[in-house]
Formats: sequence, structure tokens, C-alpha cells
Amino acid sequence: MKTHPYSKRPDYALWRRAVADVAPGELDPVVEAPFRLGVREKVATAGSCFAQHIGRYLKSSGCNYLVTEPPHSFISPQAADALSYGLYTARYGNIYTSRQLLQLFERAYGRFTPKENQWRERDGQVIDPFRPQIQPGGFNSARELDYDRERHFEAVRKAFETLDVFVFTLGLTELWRSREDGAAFPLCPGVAGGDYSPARHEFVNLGVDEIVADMTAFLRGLRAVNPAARVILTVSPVPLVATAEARHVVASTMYSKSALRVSCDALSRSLNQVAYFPSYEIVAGGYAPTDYFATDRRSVTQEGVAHVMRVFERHFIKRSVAGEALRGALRALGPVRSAPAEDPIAAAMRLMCDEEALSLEQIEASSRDEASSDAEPAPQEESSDEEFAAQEPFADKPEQEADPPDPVNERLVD
Amino acid sequence: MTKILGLGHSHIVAIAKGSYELQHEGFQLGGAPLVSRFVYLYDPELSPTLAEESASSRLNPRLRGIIEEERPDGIVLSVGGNEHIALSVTQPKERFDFILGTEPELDLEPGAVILPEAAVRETLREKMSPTLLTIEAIRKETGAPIVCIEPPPPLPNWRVVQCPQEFFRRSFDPRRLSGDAFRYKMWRTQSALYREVCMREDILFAAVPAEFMAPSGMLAEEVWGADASHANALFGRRMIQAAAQLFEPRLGDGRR
Repeated sequence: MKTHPYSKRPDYALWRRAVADVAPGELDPVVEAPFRLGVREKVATAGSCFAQHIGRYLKSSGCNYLVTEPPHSFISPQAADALSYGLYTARYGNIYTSRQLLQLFERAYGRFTPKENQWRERDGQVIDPFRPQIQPGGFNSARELDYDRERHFEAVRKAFETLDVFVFTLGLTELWRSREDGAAFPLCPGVAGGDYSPARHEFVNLGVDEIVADMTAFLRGLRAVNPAARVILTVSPVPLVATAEARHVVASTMYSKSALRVSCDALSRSLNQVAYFPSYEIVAGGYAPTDYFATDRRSVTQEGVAHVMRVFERHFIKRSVAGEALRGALRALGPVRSAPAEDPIAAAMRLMCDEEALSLEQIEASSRDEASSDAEPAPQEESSDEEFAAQEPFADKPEQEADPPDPVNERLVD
Repeated sequence: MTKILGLGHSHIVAIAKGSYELQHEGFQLGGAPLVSRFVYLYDPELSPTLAEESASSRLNPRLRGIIEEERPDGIVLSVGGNEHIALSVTQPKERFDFILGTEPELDLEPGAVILPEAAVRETLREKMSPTLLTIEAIRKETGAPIVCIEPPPPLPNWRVVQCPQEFFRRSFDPRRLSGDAFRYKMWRTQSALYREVCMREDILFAAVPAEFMAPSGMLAEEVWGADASHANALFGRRMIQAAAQLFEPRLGDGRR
């Protein structure tokens, strides 16, 4: 029997064994991860919206998810969600392109300050052009934005300097930038703030060389502040919501995802400690037996996300048996949850209100005492507690108690 | 007569006192004598104010009964109103402050972390959720014109120190007290949320008149109540007069 380069290939290299014969949900395009992350290692995430799934999974699976910009203790959980805290390691919102990531790094370290650094809206609100949807209503002033941005950049620097592993999800190649200084916006000006002007803004569709150059520059910067940092790149399977190219959105999606995928390949082949994880292939490759897109053909289903994270867990997360046993035991032995304590604000409200009501009771009591010394009982004595306030004028003005009952109040306190 | 029904929590007491004073003086509203009744929403008989989410009306059936039975010409609301105090009287370990968009020149607490106003507003919104939902539920219950009374602004810190039992069950560290300017900003932020729900629900809003505001933004001393949160009958009286002005153009012809 003749031999050739394909005759002794392992199962993963052969379509029938690697794809056609695998059970639903078991497609696993990762062969061997170049490194694994321990559950105690600090993992930071960023990227397009699909990256949120990765962050959520890391948090819920007991990994050490790095958050360097947590909400202040005053901010309630619901408000923190509304203000995009906890979505990513720092409050940078979605980072769709390689250019945006590089720019964030440079801005955080003061190497680049875009000229178009804020958008003033007609109603007075100020929008951060680089985080246009970070909080409802934008910022109330440029000063407020400056305070927040300073705090944000501090958190971004802390993230880059202290992370062990950075997971970045590349989403798009299309972007809008300033003609003046090349500042890249996550959303086209005019969509969620600012005003689009062809004189000031231009459309760019990044090519592979540009993506590789952006990412190489970013990785060089990252390694300069954190030499041991490892990076996992992945491509979001979520299609473009719209294209600015003069072609069908499907064709543009195919181009973007292809360019990003090729760039990741080039980067992971040429740079140490840079791995590629095939989210795109699992969900959008069309090879899994299950359709992982929802009816809009864009949103990824829970099953799709679960499949991606199952493969990620299998290849990239290093768990020790002893560590897992300890985690399980801690969960099992954890304190039994008691009934939720009353919200302190609600308690304070009730306390204040109750005390006000107590003072009313005292007024009522004193009015009753005064009334009892009269020959005629005061009309309010027969009223129910419900109408407590109706008695107040009498309490405050005891001299009126001698008057005939006010026909109006008489009726109301019945 | 023109019949007003007042509904609310602790601040309704001062409003009720003021209203009854006016009523006994023969105050006219819409060309007819004012008649008012006030209901305290923390009354156990009326609790919880809001029913389960799935119920057709979210309002407590007894409270619905009162509104139906009274058939008021107008409703005055003073629901909640202390949330800003509960959230602002002391500072957490990491002190914070914020820039009030409408009055950006106000002082910031030295050394405090500056949070976006949106963070403060959205936190207040969450804490005020029962209040805001109650206002919405009352609106759904009646077509009568409704006036929402702005809660009084905060009283100054020295008054809080005089009356600490209202806020603190045990001893407290005065160094943790917030500054007056901060507490004023919290009150303004809360008022903006009231205005928002009023705008959405076609409810009129009676703002605290300028004469009851000290230059610092605190409640003027002449209208302080007996503690460090509430106002007195004079405040209530003036707010009822403000509500009456708002009611006038909306009063129907069906008054008894």
C-alpha cells in the first residue's frame, strides 16, 4: 500500500472523523492549545459583543475574572448594569476593531489624544465618542466626562499591567474614523451621538495587513507593560448588522470575518504566547449539526454559546482535581441562604416614616387628653386610624374642638 | 365643594396639616370651598400598597376603594420622598460626589471619587422604584387631575446632628456625614426623577417655592418640622396653594 502525507493523519485532520462522524454538540476544532490558564490566573476580556459571553462564562465558572473598574459601593446592581459596569474588565464597552483596541491602549497611556474627544448634543449632554453607549443619557458635562475618563484610563492601565491572560474577540473590519487624526470610532458619528460629516469623517474597511499591524503594535505595547501576558484571539461569529460598502451585507460579513480570521492565523503563527480560539468556526462555520443562530440569523443561541464555552473550557482552562473538589465542597458547605435582609434604604424609609407617624400618634393622644377634659367628646375620637390626618387640624387647633363638628370633616371621618 | 384626596407617606402629614388649616379658613378652589382628606400609605390596612405584578390593578384594593369612594376632584401625592436622605446622609468608606448637570458650579467633596450623575440617578431610580411604581399605579386608577408635591429639600447637617435618632439606630461617626451641598444635589436628582414620572404620566408637579429654600439649598428654617427630615404645616399650606393653582385649569364641572 502506498503512503502519502495524508495516509497517517490523525482523526482531527480528516473531515469524516473530525466532523461528519461526531455527535451533535461535540464538534471540537481545537487540537492543542499552546497554553492553558489556571483558575487563579487573572483573565481580562475585551472585544465585540460576543466577548461578553466569554466574560460571563469565566465569571460563573470560578475563574479569576479580572475587573479593574468595579462600580463604586454606592452604585446599586441595577444601576451598575445600566452603566455597563462588569460587562468587561474595565468600562470600555464593545471594542469591535483592532484599531480601536490599539487606540484604547495608546489613549490610556497618554500617547494619543483624539481631537474629536467629546460630542456635545443639543440637549446639553456630552457623549464619549469612544464609548457612546456606556451609560444612559451620556455625561452631563465635559468636566464629568473628564473625571470619568481619567478613572477609566487608570483602570485600563491596571488591567493591561496586571492581567495574566487577555482574551480579545475581533468583531469587525469596517469602521469610521476622523479625517483629522485618524481616531477610530466604535459607531459611526450620528448613530449614538455626534453628527456625521463627510468632511470630517471617513469610512475605512481594514485589510489583513492593517489588522495585523494594529494587533502587532498593541501586543508590543502590552508586552512592554506586562512581559508575561498571554493572549487568546477569537473571531466573533455574529454577522455585521449593516455594511457601509456598496454590496450585500452577507458579502461584507464574509469579507470581515475572513480578514479577521486570516489575521488571527498570522498573529498566532508568528507571535509567542498568542493563541487562536475558533469561536467563529463552531457557531458560523455551518458544520455543527445544530443551527446556532436565532431566527434573526444573527443572534447566537444559548446552545451555541454553551458549545463554544465547552470547547474553551476543555482546552484552555487548567483545573486541578483537588481544586475542583475543594470548590465543590465549599459550595456544598456554604452558609445556608437565609431570607434576604430588608433593603437598608427601605428600612430607613420606613424608620423615618414610622417615626413621623409616631409623632402624629402623640399629637393625637395629646388632643384626646385635652378633649377628654371637655364635657363633649371630640368628633375625631370616633374616627379610624385610617383618617389620622383628618384629625390634625383639631389637634393643632384645640380651640376649634369646642366648635360644632365641621360638616365636611364629619363626613370624611365617618 | 372641591374635593382633594391626599395620598402619601411621611411628608403628607405636613401637607395635610396645611391643607386643613386652609380648609378651616374657607379656602376656595375652583370657586368652591376646599375639602380634603389625607391617607397615610404605610397604614397596615393599606399595605402593601402595590399588589403582585400579575394583578390587573397594581394598587391595594382598599386604596382603590378609597379612591373610588371619594371620587375626588383632584389628588395630591406625596409618595416617598426620603430616599435621597437615606442615600446621602452619610458617606461610604470611599467618599463620593457628583457634578449636578443643572448646577455644575456646586462644590465637590474634597478627596471624593467623582461618579457620573447617571450612576447616582440610576441608583436612586432603583431605590425609588416602589415610589415611582406607586405613582404610576395611582395614575392608572383615576382620571382625576393629580399633583405631585415635591418633597422638601434636606435640612442642614447640624440639624441632623441634633436629631440623629431619626437616621441612626446606634451611635454614629459625624466624620461620615455628607456635606450639605452633596445632600442638596441628591435631593435635586430625586426631584428630577419625580418630574420624569410626572411628565410621562400626565401628573402636575408642584415644586418647592424659592422662599422655602435657604441660600445653601437647604430647607428654610421657618418651615422645618420637628425632626431633620420633614417640613411643617406652613410648608404644607404653601404646597397646597401651589397645587391649587395647578389644579384650577383642570377642574371639571362635576364638582359637588
